[in-house]
Amino acid sequence: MRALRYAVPAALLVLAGCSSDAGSGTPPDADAPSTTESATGSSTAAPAPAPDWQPVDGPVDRAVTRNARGTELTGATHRETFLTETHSLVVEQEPEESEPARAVLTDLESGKESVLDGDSEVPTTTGGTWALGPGSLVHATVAPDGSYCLATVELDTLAATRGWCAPQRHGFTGARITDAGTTLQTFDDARPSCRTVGTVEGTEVVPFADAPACTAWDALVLDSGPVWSVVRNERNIEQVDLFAQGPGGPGDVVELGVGTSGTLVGCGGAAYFVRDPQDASDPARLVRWDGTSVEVVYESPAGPAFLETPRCGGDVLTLTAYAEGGDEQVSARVR
Amino acid sequence: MSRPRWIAIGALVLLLAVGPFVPRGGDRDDGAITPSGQQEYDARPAAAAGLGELTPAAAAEIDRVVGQGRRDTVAARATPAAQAAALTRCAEFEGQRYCLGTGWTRSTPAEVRSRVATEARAAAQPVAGRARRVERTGDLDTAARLRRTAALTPAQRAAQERAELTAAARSVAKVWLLRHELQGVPLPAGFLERHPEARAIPGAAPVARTSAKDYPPYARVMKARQVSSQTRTYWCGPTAMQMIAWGWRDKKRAQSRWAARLGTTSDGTAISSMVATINRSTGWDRPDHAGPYIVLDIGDWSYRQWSRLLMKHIAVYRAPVVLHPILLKRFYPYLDDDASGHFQVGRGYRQRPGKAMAISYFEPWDQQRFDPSEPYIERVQWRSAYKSYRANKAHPHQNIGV
Repeated sequence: MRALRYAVPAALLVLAGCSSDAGSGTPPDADAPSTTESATGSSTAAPAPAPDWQPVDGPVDRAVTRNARGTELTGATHRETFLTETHSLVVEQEPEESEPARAVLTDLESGKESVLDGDSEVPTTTGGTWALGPGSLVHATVAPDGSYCLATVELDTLAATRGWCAPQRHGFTGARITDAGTTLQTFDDARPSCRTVGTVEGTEVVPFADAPACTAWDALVLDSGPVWSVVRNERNIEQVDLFAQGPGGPGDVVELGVGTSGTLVGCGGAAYFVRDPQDASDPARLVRWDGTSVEVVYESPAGPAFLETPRCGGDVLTLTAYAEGGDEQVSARVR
Repeated sequence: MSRPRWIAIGALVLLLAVGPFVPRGGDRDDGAITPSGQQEYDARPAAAAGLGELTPAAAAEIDRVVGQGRRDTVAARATPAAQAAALTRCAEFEGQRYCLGTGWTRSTPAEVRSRVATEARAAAQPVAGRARRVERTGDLDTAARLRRTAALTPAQRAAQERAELTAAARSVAKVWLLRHELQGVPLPAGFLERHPEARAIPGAAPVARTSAKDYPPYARVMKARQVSSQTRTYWCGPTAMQMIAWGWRDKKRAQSRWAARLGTTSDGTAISSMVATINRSTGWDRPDHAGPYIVLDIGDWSYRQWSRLLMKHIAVYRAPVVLHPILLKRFYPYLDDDASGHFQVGRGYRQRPGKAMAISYFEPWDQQRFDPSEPYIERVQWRSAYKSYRANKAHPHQNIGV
């Protein structure tokens, strides 16, 4: 039965509800469909095969990240961990956040370790977003004039540069790096914040053309174009609707369906996000968008349930499910 | 410093330590309380037990437990295990067990002591390979609670323990009702005769509500605009208390005032202080609402039971719940970083037939206030009830204020 549960590359019917009760405190009506669209109908390309999920030994709350060469990181013991096929990045931050973060970048081939901290040429700062990609990493930094900026470190040379800086009374978070580019969520200090998602291009952040102003949350770019999420109701910040640019380019928006904020990841050339159960007996699901079709590629044990944000190591994705039917941590190659 | 000044300081410390646990008696001074009268629900009879009388048997049990504490002294610098062994003592009240600092539990005293020792060690030094020290938002961890208690003089500690146990003994009927109605535990023979305070309607017996169908599909209490964010990193307790009291009195009081009443320090706030202060400073504990708030160990509560507890509290008691989750990203994926144990104000739920249950809560933690790298989010939130249940169960204390 486990194999059956993992093998669920079911075509997805997108149910995108649009309700609002922000003034009254009434919960959003996640169940009410407003528009229906089959994203699978947007392409004739065959979807990638379903991942072959295998259990990860040990306690499920270790938040393991693996790659294809056998490297394994334990997320539970660090502020953040990142892994590719060639590098690992482990970020530490003392709880009081009084000192800049300290990160160790390891070249997995040579074993060489490099430290990034407050004394680096482009220093780290307290907290802030981090991301590791195939050729570079990014982190937050504070410029000499006090601006809050994004630093980029090239993995082969360790050359660091300070790039885009947030305007006054603005910040950024949610950095993600894929083969296709680096993305951020930027925001202001309004209540709630006006949030914008976009691509880092030199010293600029270029907003996604089709993402709405102020209500976006997650963002990444694939070769096929941007993928982003939008918060439906600011009083249910964890529920988002996911969208992607379709094969028609800007203006061709594909609805990917309901998801969970903060869970969008790029891995093996595709985008993945978590969907919480919508019905009482639903499992939690992992949904994949590969640029042409959208599929459920994992279902948790029987619900109620939820998934932790997936963890990508090169082409390997690792998932943790918490469910009444039993917790589990599984891993699979996704390319 | 002069002797009179030392005495005055000692008296003040004792007053702050004991104050939250001093019961106000079965009859309420309603003249001092102003129910808002503007709650967002339909009135219906509640079924909570009020405060009971302190029986001779309960008084003797309190004497026993407090006396044991006077004999088993422990230093503030003792190991967490030694402090846990000396300070984790339990009383039996009419077949229900109350453990100091832990609350009402179905675990054995040995199990509670072992758990507290493990929690204290982990709080002082996270287990290598399993956890790390995280940002603290303001609940009092076990190590700090034990240190704080061990630092009291024997007389201060005895007074604090006596007050905590007395408040517990007088609320035992509520514990029995919750166990009966939500966990299916039969009431002991003669219970209603001994506890008239447990009858919502004179002569009526409590009815077990074991199904979601026993509750309305949607309920909430407190106004969504009466919310605030904590102004200090360790003030989730005072801010949750501020919102709870604001919801009752329809009047906002400063967080600093609640911090003082709760005995909050930079180590945080104890959940026992939260429930005691609700009982002392609001009317949510009236018999026509939740009755006296208690700290309830939910370690043995299933998700179904836990969700019914919230439904009962909000739809029947028409009163907020002191949620006590651990603020990890795995449960709150919108956060930028893991954080500590935390208090939130549970105030609503939605359970449509066949749909996943959602709960509504007031969130004191505004990550943008302390970390400019995060966007502001609304203080009123709705979310998966199951995620909150698992966040409550994952907290080392595994308890809730109801």
